This record gives sequence, C-alpha cells and structure tokens, in this order.
Amino acid sequence: MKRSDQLSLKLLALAAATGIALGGLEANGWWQDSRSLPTDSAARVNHTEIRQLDYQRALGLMASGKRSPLTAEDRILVLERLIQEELLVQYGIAQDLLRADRKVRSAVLQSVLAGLDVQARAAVKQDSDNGLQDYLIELRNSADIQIGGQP
Amino acid sequence: MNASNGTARTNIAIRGLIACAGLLLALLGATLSQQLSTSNGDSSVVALVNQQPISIKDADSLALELWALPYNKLSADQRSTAVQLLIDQELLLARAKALSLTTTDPGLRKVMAAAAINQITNNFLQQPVTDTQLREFYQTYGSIFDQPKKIAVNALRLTSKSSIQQAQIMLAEGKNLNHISQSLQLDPVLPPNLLSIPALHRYLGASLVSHIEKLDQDQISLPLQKADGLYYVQVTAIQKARTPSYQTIRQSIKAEYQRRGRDIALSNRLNQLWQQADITTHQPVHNSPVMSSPLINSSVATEGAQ
Repeated sequence: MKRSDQLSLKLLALAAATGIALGGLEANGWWQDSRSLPTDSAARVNHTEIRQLDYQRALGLMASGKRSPLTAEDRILVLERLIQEELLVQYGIAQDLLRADRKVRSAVLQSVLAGLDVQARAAVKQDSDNGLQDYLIELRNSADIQIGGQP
Repeated sequence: MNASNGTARTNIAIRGLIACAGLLLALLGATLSQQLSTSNGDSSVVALVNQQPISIKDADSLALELWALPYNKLSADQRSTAVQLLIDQELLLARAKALSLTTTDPGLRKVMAAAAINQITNNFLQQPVTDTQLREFYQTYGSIFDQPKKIAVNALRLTSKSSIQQAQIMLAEGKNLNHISQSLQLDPVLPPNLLSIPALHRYLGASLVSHIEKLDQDQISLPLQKADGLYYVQVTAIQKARTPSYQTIRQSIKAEYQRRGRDIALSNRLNQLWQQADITTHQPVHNSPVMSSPLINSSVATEGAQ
C-alpha cells in the first residue's frame, strides 16, 4: 500500500473515532451539561427548559396565597414543583397518555379543534366547520392510512 | 491468471449482492414485519394511521359512546363512521404531538401531569393486597385506628330563678336530667349521643368538661355556674378508648394502606424520574424527601420498577 493511501486511511480512522467519541458524548448529554443555563430559563429538565417567566408566575401565585413574603425555601419549593411537573409531563408523553388517557386525549382534541376554529375565524371564513374539514382532508391526504390493517 | 481474476471478480460481486440484500432488509425489515402481521389478519386493529394502530378497544369505546353498542354489533355504515372518526382523531393527535402542544400549552400540561399521577397511583392500587400485609400494617400502625374515649351527656342550662328552683325540687325527688329538661321544656344543650372529649369541649367549654370527666355513669354533677347560666350535667354512657379488632375495621385498614401506598408510589416514581433526569438549575434543588414505610415499600417496589 502506498504511503499516501496509508495516510488517508489513518486520517479516515481518526475522523471516524472522533465522530464516534463526539456522538457518544452528545448521547450522554455531556455537551448539554457543559452549556450553561440561559438567564431567561429557570431550569432545564432533559433538554426542556422551564422559562423564568413561568417560574416567576408560579412564585406570584404562591405569594398571593401567603401573608408573609416568600422565603428562599418557598422559591426552591416552587422550582422543585415545576421540575416535578415537567418530569411527569415527559413521563406521560413516554407512556403515550396522549392516546391512552381519555381526559388527555379529549383535552388535546378540544385544544386542536379550538385552534383550528380560531384560525378559520381569523381567515374570515363564514363557516368554520369548512376550515376543520379542509384541514382534515389535508391531514388524510398526507397520511398513510390502512383500514382494518389492510391498505 | 485470467481464471483467478474472474474468480476474484465473482467473489466481489457476490459480496456486493449480499451487502445490498442486508442493507435492504435493514431498511425495509420493520415495514415488512408489520405488513406480515397485518396481512395475517390482526383482528385487534381496525386501522393503521402512519403505522399507529387504532385498536378494537378504541373502536369499542367510541361505539359505546355514540350508539351504546360494542363495535362488532354496529352496522356497516356505523362501523365506517366510527373508523373514520377514529382516524381523524388520530391524525389530530399526531399533529398535536408534532407541535408539542402537551409540553407547551399550560392547560394541557396540567392535564398530562394529572394523568401521569393517576397512572402511577392506579398501577399501585391494581396490585393485590394480601391479608398478611394488612395484618402487619395494622400491627404497626394500630394507633391510627384507635377510637378515643367518648361520653354521652345530658346537660341542663338554667337561666331563671323559677326554673332553678323547680329543677332543684325535681333533683331532690330523684328525677334525672332528661326528665327535668322535658318538664321545664328546655332546649337541649348538646346532642345526647356519645361524643369525644374535643366535641364536648366545643359544646360545653373546658371547665364543664373537666367536671364531666370526673363523673361516673348516671352521676349528676353539683350545680356549676357559668356566665350564661347554671348548669347541671349527667353522664349517661361512657365508652372507653379502644382499638377495634382487625376484622371489624379491615376495610378501613385496607383504605389507609392504599392511601399511604399511593403517596409512596408517586413519591418513589418521582424520585426515580428525578435521578434518571438531567436537571440543570441556577440554584441547588433536590427532590422532596422520599415517603417510605417498610411495610408498603415491598409492594411499591414492584410498581417503581415498571
């Protein structure tokens, strides 16, 4: 094998090893960990950020129910509760509760339909049902649908 | 030389063909497998939407909601309508998931978190509870089932001189307070049934109750002057503090066991999620202390491992 071929092979192996190493680090979240939390975020939970705005809102809610000013422990407790809520939301998504839980399913469908209704009204469509039907037709046309498991 | 070259080329070609076949299998394998299973007539699936199955169970739920009939009892038109509705719902749900609505919409987040909590606690509640577990729980936490001492009291509150005189005459004749109260047409001061000491405090105040606790059954007190009148009290029944037997309160024990177990299951799951998560904050935070009970942990440990 020529020297240039050997050098090319070595460079290729080095690049592959570097790529694998970086991929492994990214998979383990080291890259994420090394990034500092932006100031407009109160926390990060598995790549999802909890906004400072939401944290301050939650603090405000707690303060309105208290006679005395919020303590440092109160602030930590509120942040912990927001983190716990995020963990539960992520757990629910992983368990596919969006489909499996009737209340979540119903709430999500209502939210989507309400959003479509708002869009239809914003577009000054007289009959907002047409907006929904058009949207559903679009979704059906772009989906792979098999009835009874058969195409 | 030519023969060896030909053999080498043939080998390369064969290797290339096998590699391509392997690549094709890897790319299409999942699809083939699913098509095989559906072509075998998977009767638990009424439709597939972007490979997401819509089950007979979903169809049954919708059919019962719309027509109060199970799916397999519907007419062809009704089935078609039901399937179309479910397909549309699945398309909308998939769209919602793609838009991350459940993570961004505050109302949906609350619903999702509540659903997650329900699933965790229901998983615990579905685990069977043995008699042995309940008995161990009862032996360890029996004090929470103690019934406190209770006393049934008749009380007279006399505000006028004439009623006081009449009451004293009837007492001297040996009449009980119930009789005197009816004779003088007095309003009852408190319910006649067995009441706990704190309940008696609420009706009569601390000073009267301290006298009541010294009385024996059917004993009538000396006249007790308070700001709102002259009182006579009589103990009509006493129930001592006791711990009911296991058999008489088995349902209450089970309810308390499950109540605590639900809280522990949720706490354990949250701790597990917290430990497995990558959490970054500007200030140090920690998950709430783990609720534990050595008697319940053996049950929730199974749930926590799911």
